[in-house]
Amino acid sequence: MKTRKICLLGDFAVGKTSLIARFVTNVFHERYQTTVGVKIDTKEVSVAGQDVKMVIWDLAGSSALSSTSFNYLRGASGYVLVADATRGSTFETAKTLHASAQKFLGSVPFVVLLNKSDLTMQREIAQSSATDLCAHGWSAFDTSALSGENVERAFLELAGRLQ
Amino acid sequence: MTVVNLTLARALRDYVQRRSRVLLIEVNAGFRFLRARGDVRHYGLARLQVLEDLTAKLHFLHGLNARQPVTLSFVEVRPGVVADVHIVPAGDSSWVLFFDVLEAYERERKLQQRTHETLLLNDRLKAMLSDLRQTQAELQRSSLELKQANDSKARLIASFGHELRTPLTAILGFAAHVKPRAAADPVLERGIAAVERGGEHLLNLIDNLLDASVLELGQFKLSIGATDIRQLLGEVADLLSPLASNRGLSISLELDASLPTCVLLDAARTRQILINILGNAIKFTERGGVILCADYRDGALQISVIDTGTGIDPSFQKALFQPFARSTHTSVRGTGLGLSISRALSEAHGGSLHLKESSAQGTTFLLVLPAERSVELVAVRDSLALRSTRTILICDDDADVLALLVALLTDAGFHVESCHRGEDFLEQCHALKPNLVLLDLNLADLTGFDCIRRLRAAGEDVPAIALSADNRGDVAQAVVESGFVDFLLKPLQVERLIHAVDQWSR
Repeated sequence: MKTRKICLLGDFAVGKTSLIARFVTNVFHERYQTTVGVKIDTKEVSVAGQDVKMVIWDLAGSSALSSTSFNYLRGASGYVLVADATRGSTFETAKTLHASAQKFLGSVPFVVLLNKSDLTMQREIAQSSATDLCAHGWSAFDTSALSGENVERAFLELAGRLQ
Repeated sequence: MTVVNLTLARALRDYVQRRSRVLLIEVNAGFRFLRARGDVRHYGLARLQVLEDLTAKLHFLHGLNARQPVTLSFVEVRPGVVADVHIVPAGDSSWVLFFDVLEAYERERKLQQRTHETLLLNDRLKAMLSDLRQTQAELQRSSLELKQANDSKARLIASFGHELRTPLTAILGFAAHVKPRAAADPVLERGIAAVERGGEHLLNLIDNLLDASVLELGQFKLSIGATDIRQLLGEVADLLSPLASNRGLSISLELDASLPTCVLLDAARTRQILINILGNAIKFTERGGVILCADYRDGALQISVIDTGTGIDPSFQKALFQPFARSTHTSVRGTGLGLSISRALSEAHGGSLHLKESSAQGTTFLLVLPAERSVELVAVRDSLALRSTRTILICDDDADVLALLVALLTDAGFHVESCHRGEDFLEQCHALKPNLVLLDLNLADLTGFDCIRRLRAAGEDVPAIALSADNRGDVAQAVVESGFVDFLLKPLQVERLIHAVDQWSR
């Protein structure tokens, strides 16, 4: 089994911790608990007949990467960009983080998650955005840590592309 | 000295050890365990074997380079244990250092939690504000659309009213004109009475709709003047006495000694209110009678209309003054606007109109109108001989109305000249030098305002009375400001017409 490190990047309160909790232990906590520093989880998955142990780094939410954040990114084989579909500004943050991560890690696989897709009435990022990103060659998903929509699919998609 | 320094160094080491649960693990280049010093148990690393792969137990080491110095802050090493982790290369091996920072982590977490929650709340507030602004903009748009629709409705009603009033002038005017001549023929007399009733009902409906529209738009203006209130009350009682006697009812007028003869108020609107209340009292009373009584207290007229009807249904009393309110317990016709308009008019006067009491024995409405005392008016009715010396020039493009005016004023003894067009009017004015002109405001070629302006510019100061079927407040205001001496609203009241012509042709 190969072991691969991935990092979740995104603004605060976009649902990174909840997405990991849904993917790793299939649970969801209503209450928002901020993440300080880093929390690491692992999950073993099987993609295209190959077993992969994913070491998932849940990084504290931030709008930009600091030197400390770059230390966390060291050795990552891929990353997950998370935005909150109900807060348009978090999508801009995700794009900024993507540029920084790409500069530091080089061209490694990543996926974009537009999370909280269940809150349809409060949505600020258009439902078509994920489709638009896909059209530009990005792997993008509308996800909901609450309902589980697309969560596993997105992580497995990334796992399948990890070298 | 050396002993003291050594003791101090040990104390400091023990303190740091206790506070930070320091752990030092020596590893080779592949993060394989060599040896450890410090609190291994605290970090869950008690039974490490030499050359055991440390990344299997410490997942966060995966992907890192043991030969590259790095610091990782606030790493959750295991549940409830948070450490700052440093990788420090030293010679052929490296050291992985752990410092427990749980206290600092908890402080940071609480602070960050508060900050993030505040920022989220701020975001939500911004979103709510944006929604509110959007809703407000939509409301303003709707309100504007509503106002435009209302204005259109008012314009439509005003235009509609004007169009209906003009033919009604001829219908009601000629009916009144030929009525005395039909006294000998009962069939003709009944026919004329029916024409009058129908015309007046129609006029009443139009006036109510126009008033409701103007009051709703807040464009209503009072025309305050010296009014003989005793005469006005008498006229209203006289006007409605045929209706009362037709229904077998008595109508009586009780005027208190405190009531002055002359007060300042809008006579036309006061008459309208009284006709409405008194008319209702007569219409809804089966037997007995109606009393109109008035006195004057604290600078206000107190006018009561008392009837001996069966009272107003209690369930309907609350809605009585609402527009279009009509009781389901009666078959009497009406627009349901009369009382709401009357109340609005009385309030425009600074007064009030309310239902004082209503029972099976009867109903009393009380109208209170603040009105200052005024000097008394002297009514003068000129003799026919005197009238024949006066030339009245009338200009109206409606042939029927013009014929009616000529007939009424000629019968009243005046010397009357007439024309249809504004240009002809100006010419005749210069040629005839009339004592008074009656001028319709909406002529085919010129407006009445154009005519009066040109007349005054030419140095003619003949008194002019404006005629129009448009009863909007701003029209009356414009008439006064343009130099007309009076304004007669179509359909014309014959008495009022003769009185005005008498007054201004002297």
